[in-house]
Amino acid sequence: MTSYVSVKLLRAFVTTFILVTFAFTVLRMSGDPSTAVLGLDVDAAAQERFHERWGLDRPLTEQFADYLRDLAVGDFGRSFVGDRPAISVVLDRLPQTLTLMGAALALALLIGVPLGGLAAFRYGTPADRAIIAGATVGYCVPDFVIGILLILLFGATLQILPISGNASLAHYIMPVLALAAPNASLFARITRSAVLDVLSQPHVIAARMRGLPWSTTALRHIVPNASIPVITIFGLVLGGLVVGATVTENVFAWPGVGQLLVTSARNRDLAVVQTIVILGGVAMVLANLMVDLFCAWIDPRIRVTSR
Amino acid sequence: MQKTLCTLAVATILAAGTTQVVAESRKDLMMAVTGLTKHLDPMGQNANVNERISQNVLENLIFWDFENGGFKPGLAESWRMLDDTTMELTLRSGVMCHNGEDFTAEDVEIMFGPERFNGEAAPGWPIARSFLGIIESVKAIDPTTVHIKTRSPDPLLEHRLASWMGQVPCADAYREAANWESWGTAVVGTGPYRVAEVRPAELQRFEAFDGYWGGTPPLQSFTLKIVPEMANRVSGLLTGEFDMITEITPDQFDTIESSPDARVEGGPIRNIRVVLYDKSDPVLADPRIRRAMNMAIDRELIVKTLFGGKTTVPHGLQMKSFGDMFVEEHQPASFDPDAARKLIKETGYDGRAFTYRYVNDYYTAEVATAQVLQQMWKDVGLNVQLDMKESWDPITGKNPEPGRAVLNLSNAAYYPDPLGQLFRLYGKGGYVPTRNIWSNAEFDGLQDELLSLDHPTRKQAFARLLEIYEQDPPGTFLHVLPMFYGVRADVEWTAKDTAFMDFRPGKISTQ
Repeated sequence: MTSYVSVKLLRAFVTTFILVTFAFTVLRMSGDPSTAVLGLDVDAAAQERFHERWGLDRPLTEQFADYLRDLAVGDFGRSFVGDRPAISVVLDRLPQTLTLMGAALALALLIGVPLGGLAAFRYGTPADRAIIAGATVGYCVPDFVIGILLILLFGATLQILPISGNASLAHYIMPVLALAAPNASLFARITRSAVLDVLSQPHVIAARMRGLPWSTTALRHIVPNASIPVITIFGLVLGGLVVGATVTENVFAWPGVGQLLVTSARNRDLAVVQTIVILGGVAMVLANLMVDLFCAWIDPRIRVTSR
Repeated sequence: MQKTLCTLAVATILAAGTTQVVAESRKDLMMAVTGLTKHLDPMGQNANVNERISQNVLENLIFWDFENGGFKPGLAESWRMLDDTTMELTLRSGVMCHNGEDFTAEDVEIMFGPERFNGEAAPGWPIARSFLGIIESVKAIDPTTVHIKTRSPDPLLEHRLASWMGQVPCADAYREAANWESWGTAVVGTGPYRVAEVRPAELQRFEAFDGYWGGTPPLQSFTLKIVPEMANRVSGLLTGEFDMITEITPDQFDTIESSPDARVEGGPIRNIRVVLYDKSDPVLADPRIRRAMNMAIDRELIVKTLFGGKTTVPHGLQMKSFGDMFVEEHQPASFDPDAARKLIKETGYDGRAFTYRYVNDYYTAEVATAQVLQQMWKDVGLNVQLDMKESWDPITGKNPEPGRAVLNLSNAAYYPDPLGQLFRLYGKGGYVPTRNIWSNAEFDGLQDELLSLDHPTRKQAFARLLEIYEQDPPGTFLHVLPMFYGVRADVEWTAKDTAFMDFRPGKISTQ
């Protein structure tokens, strides 16, 4: 188990380093922040002053070395807007995003897993077909389309829900629905497949033939085995939530990290964008690492195979 | 006597009560925008998003009368020229800064001095020098008298002081700010509204400053909130979640106008959308090709189809607001595809391709305009390749990608005079020559005449500049840039011909 964990940690570190390098390089190659910050028809002297002020006139390798050194001591750089530490700017917005993602994840699980299980147990019936059709649609329609449809229906036409911001509980309904829909669909499809797979396993057939109560069979044999694929896709779902939150936050003007990312990228606020990319990447890497470790813990076959 | 005193006391109480009722009934105006300024000091960011709010917070010594044209007293109640290069201004007394301190001549001296503006090392110099660089020194003579000395006679000094970049913040607050960037989120001035809250990339809120010298601010507060999605902004306007929205496009007009609760405001502003031609391109080196390109463009068609006829085609690179500097007899390029074809044939153009670089709708309908232009040029036999870029760097950056030929720009008239538009951008030291796009020695040589205090000399010089613009074209004008807003029916407000959204006393009211 120790070597398994070590390999996973090493991979996580390498992935994070690649991510940091990528974010740093691409951001500097994709546009000059001085134009975005000072204005388009700013003259060359003003641009030079800006570059000098923020150390952007130095060779890229030198900037990168300094950035890594600062990063090692937890200094993510400073925002061009207001000269605040980038990490503070991002952390100010993080609770709003976590709340949105948490609520959407909870809703996706509450809807997707039971519906997936129901579809499996009612395999081949109209209920199964209806659930799988709904899940396919929910997964295929982009979240921003769902968001705009919700706005047009509940915001513009019926005028019963607020369409932007996060001032009250009512503000949560549409963004959470828009973000949860694709993930609930994914959970439903995966759960259905996993349960169907487990139902056909010999040990489940044997348990049912032994006359074990249905609840016991479900709790002891079906749920633990069917949960592994569902847990495994958590990493994927987290990635989907991060991307989805960025889109959803911009559709609903939700003041979270996603909206900050888009605005900062447009403003070429390098330190803020880098911080978001790095924190998001690290969160993804950690989530996947934890999923791997958790799966290895509950299913010894994974540990053995990895060896 | 006793009766008079009683009447006076009752009147005072009633007046105080009325003022309080007015103050309490004022609206918290919510505005959905697509972007916020990164720096609230004009010298920190030269952009529409900054100009939009600035004069509500930071005021000018001289005010521009948007309704009638001309100047009127601002922070200075009077001014006069002592000689060709020195202006004396007498400041209004009793003006208070948002932090409670008095606004005096010392504030003017410091804010236009080396600490903020005047000098290579000053943080405001790089952006403001093309506006105010002619100012040599500013001296406070006494608390209400200030002398502004220019490096040479300047026919535009009043315009400069009354326009964008001429705002004067309060010096003590400026000195107390930790640095230039933090000052940009907490500017202190004398305007009717003061900065209340700045949440980067989310919102900016400004609240009424009841110590304002010019009367009670009509709004309790106004908030600019980022709402990137057009559908969301429009829906929010129609449902009443927003009182005003910005950056609406002509395709949204019907939706807004069909509601009894909202309307469309705005129209052309003092800004002309142009394309630029890089003279170093082998094809465009020949001015005849550039002139032919100008004749191939049906500007009226662009205005009609892409802007629903809601803006106008200018009379060359000049604006009606130039007043007596407007050259009525000027003959700008007009749509004549046959003449264009003939001219191209004369050049012996061999069909060699050249690029037209632009970004994704930085300007309204930028992509659609580029596609239309390409087709119009194709119709006269020119092979123009569209090349959309992710940012402006490969187009106008320090080291643009090789092969640049045609590019986009807007030409704002920061003050209604050719010095604030045509010469500022195309003349010596301007945006176009400093980016090695185009330059013309005769054009540059007219600077002195344009700066003359003699009006006929100035006008003649400007007429010649317009001719050069047509004969050796650095590009061409397309249409006046429009700026449209969605406004709730209960908000009485009229857009200006600049990006400034005026919420000062008497300029906005809500039911």
